[in-house]
Amino acid sequence: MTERGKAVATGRTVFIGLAALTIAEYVVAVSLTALPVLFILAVAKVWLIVVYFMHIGQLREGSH
Amino acid sequence: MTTSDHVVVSKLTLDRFGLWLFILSETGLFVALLAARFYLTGFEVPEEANQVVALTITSILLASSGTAYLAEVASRFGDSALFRKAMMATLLLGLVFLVGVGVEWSEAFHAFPPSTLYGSSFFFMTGMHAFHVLTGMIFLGIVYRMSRGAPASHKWPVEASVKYWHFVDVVWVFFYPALYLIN
Repeated sequence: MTERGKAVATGRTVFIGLAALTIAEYVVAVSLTALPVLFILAVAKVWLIVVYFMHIGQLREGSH
Repeated sequence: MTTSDHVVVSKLTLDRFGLWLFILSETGLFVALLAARFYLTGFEVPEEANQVVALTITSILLASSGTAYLAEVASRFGDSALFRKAMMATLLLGLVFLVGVGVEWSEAFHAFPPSTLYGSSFFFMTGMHAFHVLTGMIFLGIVYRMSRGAPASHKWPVEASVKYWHFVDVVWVFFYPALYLIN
């Protein structure tokens, strides 16, 4: 797979993950009312965005 | 200090560091808003909060993060046509998000007006976030305009505007459950 293909595939996977977590959030809120679970789901979503969409790792690696 | 002690840091690395510092400072503002919301009104959410609109605009903002990512990838690989399409899609999704917030506000003014404790938190949080969505759209719009001709020479503005857009999404990731789901 090309570099570009990998980048697009990563974006698609992360997007699907974020969508799944958002649905899970809604289901948890409607059925369980479990605050810690909602918090964990939100943190998981933020982790996906910050690591894969915002590329925070670039700070450690320097420019590339 | 010897010559080997010098650390060469590229301008791009400094730009990125500066942007992350800016994002960190903005995070402080939104954390304060979240703290104020829970301090003032506890964990209650009014029954009148429109869950359908909230879930819809959350999905729209999420989708806009996906198209923004695609625009950045297209820019990185010099695909001008895809870049412009993905950037335009991001802008349109941002606009739809703002319209959705407007719809929610028109209902919320009657259900929990700004004069109530929850209402003041709700309008301040969503208002501040919507303002950041608007500034993000202006930022993306400027980059979109700059891209006419040679997108490859403007990679940092693309990266910066897209990162800022993702940050706006990150804020909503916490605001959505805090304002609509925790009850």
